[in-house]
Amino acid sequence: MDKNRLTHLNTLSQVNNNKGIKFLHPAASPGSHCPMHTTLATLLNIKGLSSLVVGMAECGYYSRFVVDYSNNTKEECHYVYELDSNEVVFGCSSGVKKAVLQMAEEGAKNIMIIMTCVPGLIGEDPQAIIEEISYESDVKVVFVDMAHFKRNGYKDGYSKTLAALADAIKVQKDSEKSKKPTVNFLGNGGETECNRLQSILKESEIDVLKYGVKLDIEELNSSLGSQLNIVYSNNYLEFAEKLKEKYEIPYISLCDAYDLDTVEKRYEKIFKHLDISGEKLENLYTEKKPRIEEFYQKILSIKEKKSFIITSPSTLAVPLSVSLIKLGFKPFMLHIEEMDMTNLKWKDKLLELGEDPYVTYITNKDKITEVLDNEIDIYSLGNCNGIEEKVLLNDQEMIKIQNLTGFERVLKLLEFIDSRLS
Amino acid sequence: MGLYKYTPEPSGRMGLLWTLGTIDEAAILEFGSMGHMIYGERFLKQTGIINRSKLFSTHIDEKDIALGITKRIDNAIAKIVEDKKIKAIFLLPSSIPETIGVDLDAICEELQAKYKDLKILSFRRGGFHDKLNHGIEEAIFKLAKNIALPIKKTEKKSFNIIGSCCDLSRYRSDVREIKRMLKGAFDINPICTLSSEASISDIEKMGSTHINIVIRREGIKAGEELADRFNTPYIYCRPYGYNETEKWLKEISKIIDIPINKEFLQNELNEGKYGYNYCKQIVSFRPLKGPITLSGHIDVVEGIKKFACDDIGMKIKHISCDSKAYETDKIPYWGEKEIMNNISRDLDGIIMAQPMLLKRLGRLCNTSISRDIYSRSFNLYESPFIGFRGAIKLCSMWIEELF
Repeated sequence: MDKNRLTHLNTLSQVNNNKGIKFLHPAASPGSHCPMHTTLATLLNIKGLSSLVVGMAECGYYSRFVVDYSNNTKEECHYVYELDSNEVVFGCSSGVKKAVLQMAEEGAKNIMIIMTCVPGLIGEDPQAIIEEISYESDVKVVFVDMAHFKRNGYKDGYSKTLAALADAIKVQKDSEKSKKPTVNFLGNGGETECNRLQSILKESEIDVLKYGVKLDIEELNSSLGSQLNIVYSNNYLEFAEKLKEKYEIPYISLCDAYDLDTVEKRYEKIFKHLDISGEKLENLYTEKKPRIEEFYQKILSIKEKKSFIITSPSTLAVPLSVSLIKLGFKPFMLHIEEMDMTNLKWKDKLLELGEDPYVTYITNKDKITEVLDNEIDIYSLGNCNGIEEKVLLNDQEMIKIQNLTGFERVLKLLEFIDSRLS
Repeated sequence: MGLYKYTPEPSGRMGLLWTLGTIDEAAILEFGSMGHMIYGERFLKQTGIINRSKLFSTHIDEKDIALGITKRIDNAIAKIVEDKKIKAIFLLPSSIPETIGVDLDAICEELQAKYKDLKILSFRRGGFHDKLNHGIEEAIFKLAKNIALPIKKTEKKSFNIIGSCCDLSRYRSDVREIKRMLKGAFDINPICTLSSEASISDIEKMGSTHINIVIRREGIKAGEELADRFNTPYIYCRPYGYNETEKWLKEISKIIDIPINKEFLQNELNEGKYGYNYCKQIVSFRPLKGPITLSGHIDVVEGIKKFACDDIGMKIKHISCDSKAYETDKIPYWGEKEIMNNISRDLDGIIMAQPMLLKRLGRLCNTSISRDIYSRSFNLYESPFIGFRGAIKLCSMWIEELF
């Protein structure tokens, strides 16, 4: 592999935040979405939440690609506040405040202010605006800073939007709280294993509250009564972290578990925390564990292992790489959307295994091999034009893997790899 | 307060992108956050044009902003020029460089000196005051000024169309109708259709024609520039309806000194006669169903109004244009607020406006006269609204609406 073409990239050991992640190509064509897009896509699934995009004409105009005219209902309204040239210089707080109050008059009860690039650049302080509004109206207002220049990709639009909701949750009165102990499932983790875990918890008299893609802001208030958050989706991780900080609700994540050992340990932790017998773990994996072990032996016995790249944004690249190193593969280059808390947490584990792959942000997905080398001898996780026969998992399969949980995910991952290698 | 619920007004930067984005053999590089370009790509994809500019974005981060680093532009251009099909690069401003005051003109000059075989252009109408029309006007003008080369006139008489842009609905059908009519009436051929069907090679040859057909006012400046540089006269008109189209052809005939093919003209008029008379009759029988509301580009609403009211006999319910710069006493500018206050679901009559408004009112988009993010017709082969066939289409459409 000719590494000379990649000298503009940093390796994982050099990357501690988003700033260290360089683009693979010098010109993005046409680029990837901004986090405002994913913020809007997320909040449209939240019943009872209105939005106000604050930015320039482009942000406002194109945001309507996401927010359809039909999304405006009696309970929810979605507005754009466009800054004029004076506000770019002197600030837009007064205008934004008026806009929020107008939306409240129209019936909005919960409003998310989405700050885009220019308000982010001029240092507008949305928290101060929210405080001012609180003296004049009962409307609940939260904000997200979605300035695209502060990151490369769009993933923050999912995670920070959900995290901001933690500020909108109302603490319930004792009379409103569930009498039974409850656990929150945060994110969709596939049906089968999720349901099995739910049954095990039910047997132990523990209720499960599920929070997926579709949410109701009022129902979210119940999440505060839980003993534990089980995080199925990385998008919910910051939300869980906030609930831990603000309300001391612990969380255990399953979203970054891609190998048998990690999955088992996480489940054991869950069972221990909820005081459930560890023997019940068997109910979760039943027939799966022997098959997983069989696949492990089979793949480990293949002597000629190759390097791999991860091109898909769907999975968490660093923990997934650790699981693949355990199978004997070598990570060469990882597409990382955000150097978020999960990837950072797994960084040292990966480095300890003696690997230090390039980290990059791929904007031109159809031209990856052009930058890599002419004589490519590498596997790809995620689509990669030009080396289709070396793709272990395509983009759709990567999404499938990420949408599964625990043993189910590990088994599916190994099945895909085994089928390609055979 | 710039508060919008439905359709925020497009900016000058968007006008530049939409106009330049339809030009083949060119690349557009935006210095700024890359989210804008992917939306731009989607908008342009929805126009149905295949051969168009390649869109690139540098992206930008906090360090670039704090230290004024523009190296990303150099790196991106070095990569773009590897594609030998690209003959021109347009450097597009975005809101962040506009805020921090990056001098794209100076960068453009430096790059032009480095890449002499390419045309590299920067644009000024990306400021916070500039609106869609400013961007379109500057893009068309700069292309005519900087890309068109000194060239001999074609032996057989020819023409350019100036001002066909993808922000108007049926823009491809309208220019197809213009070309058909000019072929039929004068047997003359087009050289360049700026900008919806142009390549850089076409624009280079713009000076070789005998007349420039300007179909929207943003193109006048380019028409004047070409008149100065190549001594090519221009005619500015957007002909709707039979009378206006016939008058327009007669003026062109005078300018290019070719008589109109009378047989062609007569056939065209005969073809639409029944529908035209029928429409007039229906409007006179059903005046209450026949008021028309027009909201969109000034040249479009003015042209359709003339045909609908002066020729067919309709009454105007509301008429407004979408640009403050072009409003008149009779045709005011209406933004979202005015439109919301005046145009509601129970409004009588025919409405020809932007798709977003029609959708909101629960109407079909076949009467839309401009394009926006709700334009999802990829059909480049619809009937035109301009010219003789446009008149047939309008009359048929109105008759259907009146029943």
